[in-house]
Amino acid sequence: MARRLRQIGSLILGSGLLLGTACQKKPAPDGPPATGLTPVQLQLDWFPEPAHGGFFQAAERGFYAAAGLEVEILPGGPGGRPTQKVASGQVPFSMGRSDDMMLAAAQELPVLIVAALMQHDPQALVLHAENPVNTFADLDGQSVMAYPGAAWIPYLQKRYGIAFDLQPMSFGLARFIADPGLIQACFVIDEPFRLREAGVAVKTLLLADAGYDPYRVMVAHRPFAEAHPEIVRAFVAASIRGWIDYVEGDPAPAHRRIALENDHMTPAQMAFSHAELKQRHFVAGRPPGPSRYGQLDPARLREHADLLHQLGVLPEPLPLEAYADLTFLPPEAPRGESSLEILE
Amino acid sequence: MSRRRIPVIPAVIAGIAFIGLWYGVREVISPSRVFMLPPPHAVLQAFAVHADELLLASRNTAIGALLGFALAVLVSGSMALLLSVSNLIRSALYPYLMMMQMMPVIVIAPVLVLWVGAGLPSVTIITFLICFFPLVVNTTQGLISTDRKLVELFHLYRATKWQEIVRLRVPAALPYFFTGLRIAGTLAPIGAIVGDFSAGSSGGHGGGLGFLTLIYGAQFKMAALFATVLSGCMLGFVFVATVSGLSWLSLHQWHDAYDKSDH
Amino acid sequence: MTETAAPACSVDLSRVTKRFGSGPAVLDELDFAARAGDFVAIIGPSGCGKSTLLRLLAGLSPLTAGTLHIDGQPPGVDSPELAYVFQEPTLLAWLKVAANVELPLSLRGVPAAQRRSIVARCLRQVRLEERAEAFPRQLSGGQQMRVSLARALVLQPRLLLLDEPFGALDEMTRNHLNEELLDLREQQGWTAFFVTHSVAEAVFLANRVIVMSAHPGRIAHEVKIDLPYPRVRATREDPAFQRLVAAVTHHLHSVEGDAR
Repeated sequence: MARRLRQIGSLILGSGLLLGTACQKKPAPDGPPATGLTPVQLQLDWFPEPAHGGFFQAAERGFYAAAGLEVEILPGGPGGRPTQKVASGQVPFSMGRSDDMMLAAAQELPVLIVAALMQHDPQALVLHAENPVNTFADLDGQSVMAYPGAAWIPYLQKRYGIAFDLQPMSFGLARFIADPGLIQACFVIDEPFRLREAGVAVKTLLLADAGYDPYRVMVAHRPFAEAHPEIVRAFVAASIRGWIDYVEGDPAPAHRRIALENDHMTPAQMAFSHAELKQRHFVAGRPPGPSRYGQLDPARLREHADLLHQLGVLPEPLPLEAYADLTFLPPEAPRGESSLEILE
Repeated sequence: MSRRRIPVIPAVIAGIAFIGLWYGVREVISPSRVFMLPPPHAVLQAFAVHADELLLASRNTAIGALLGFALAVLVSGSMALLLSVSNLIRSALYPYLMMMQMMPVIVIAPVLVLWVGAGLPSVTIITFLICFFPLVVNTTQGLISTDRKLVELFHLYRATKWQEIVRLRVPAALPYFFTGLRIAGTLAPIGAIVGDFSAGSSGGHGGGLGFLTLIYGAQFKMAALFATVLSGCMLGFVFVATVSGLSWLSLHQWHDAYDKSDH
Repeated sequence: MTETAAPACSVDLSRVTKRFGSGPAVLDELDFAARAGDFVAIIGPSGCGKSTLLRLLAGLSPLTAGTLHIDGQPPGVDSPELAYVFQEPTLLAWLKVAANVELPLSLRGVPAAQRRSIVARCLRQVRLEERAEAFPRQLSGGQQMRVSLARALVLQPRLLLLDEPFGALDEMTRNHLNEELLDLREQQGWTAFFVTHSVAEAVFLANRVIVMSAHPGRIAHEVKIDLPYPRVRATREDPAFQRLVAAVTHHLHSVEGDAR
């Protein structure tokens, strides 16, 4: 299921509720617990799946504990609202897409991008194999099921000079399976596998291939990051270590944990997702450049913010400091050196 | 006839107090959460900034609401007539009407989209589904609870069944019908917004208020969201006011509910 | 007056019995004959079947046993025109006074021009021509009852059935309406059955008062009221009137005593 934007609907439904929540979970640690580890929470953006693999790998392999952290990984879902949770300080960490975080920061939500999770976003459009639409330009006049308000929509329309109708995402793939003409937003490492399992021949158009290429990022509650930079730094370093280990090493520890927490995840599904993540270089970044696990390029972020401004999605130009702080990142791996070696 | 006076001053004071409270809550709320409650002036500003979008979306939602509402009135009217003529038909169909009422829109929406396409057709049918039940229940109740003495009177005058329905049962059911209509009038814009939310489309003349809610939600535009919600409220108010007006027009001269006790 | 009144009709009841389901008899073997033009008042304790009798006469309810003839015919579609006046005005709240009075005529498909003149005349007869355009709820209880009477009269009934029509009104209004009802009788001439709880009203209106007993409903006594018509307000002060009231009251007490 396409998911990254699922939180949006629930933002509206949930914000009122959230306002009423009088007690809030303290993001700041209440002193060291018995284990001597600092407890922090990470809010996922969906049910546990390989797209969260690095975090689970870090937890299972003890990277967080080694960094002095006890990370509680909170599953998301249709009503997860990770951005709202981290903005309101219910949790110190969450994850999301860099463009969404820019939009949130522009509306003065106290969120801060602290590291990259993936260099490229697996968000794509999925189509039935026989659909005559083969390129983004072919989308002209079509109807696409996606989350209205996502910034890639005006981007595609402007870049290709096309117009297409939008329909709000519905839960599940039933409609897609039933309607051979339907074009739907998806996660390229996930839905295509499940659709093929269901006997539907599909093809995909990766949004990054259209030139719309945000990061997927780790996000911190801004006041928390200001008060506890050392915790953020430790979390970022351990998470990046987890991601490197997950993608390049044996993903089994993460997959065991994911299967435990999400009944719907089959080994075959996880193997597919993992292979896609690795082969398409979503996490490490596309060659020929070096692996850039976790790293953020300020120029690329600025370029994307400018793009959002040009598209009219951001009302004002947004400076980097408004949405990101790169000082929590570990030093970048020197060219040619294996990422694993650096962090081991 | 003396015009009924609606006292304005208490409402104005309550309104001002509410806005005061609104600002007050923003002061108490923790700074990291204050984004959730945009101040009233920001909402007003959002109205101005997004006026075109809000108007268009309100218009689209109003069209869906009106179509679904009208369809519900027509179908429920005929259905109520059918149900009122026989106990047998009533007991045969009532359970299914109840089930129709229980049907969660969020579940039926994808099916509807498959059948009739996203956008206005689906929004209309969802609105219809939401409005239909209170209308059919109230109207049927009205049609079968005609004063027994009046029915006997019509029998004594050897009125035909048709005359009994048209000249007695239907007018006697009007107050009940309008009760249903007022409920349906409140539900229609909500139905259209919910329908838009789950089965809308930006095609045609663009989406409605539900669609706009998704967009502003995705872009974290809280003030614009509040403005959208308020637009929905205003639309609902217009609906209810219109229905109340219609009800007043048809009932005030003769129905006790509008009695000003000045014989 | 100048009105061409249809002739009043006779009513014959022979061993009329009514029971509901398998319950006890509400009316038990009633024998009674009303001549054309009789004004029959029916009085009796509650449960004596007064209203049930009226409903049988109107054809609103079938007999269990016995025979009932109106002008020698069993009640049916072609039985003589009859009108029924309920205890409540039973007006259509959404119709103005004139339209309420007009209702029986329009249900029959009487041409509009003819309807208007009949309605105007009947409203004049009940002295409500001023309120023709009012809605029922704008009228007092007595005025509403007058509308109900006018409506009963538009079809020129030959048999008038009145079920405690003035029971809910105050005494002054009731007396006025009694006098008006007799005026109408003078003009139109019909046979009437009038159910009431008031002995004075029964004696004032009727030429025959039937006192019924309850459980089962039977005719216990009949009192002839030989006061001459037209009866007017002063009739109530007539010693003969007072004596008849006393006599009917005595019979009523005796049947009520039986009931206890």
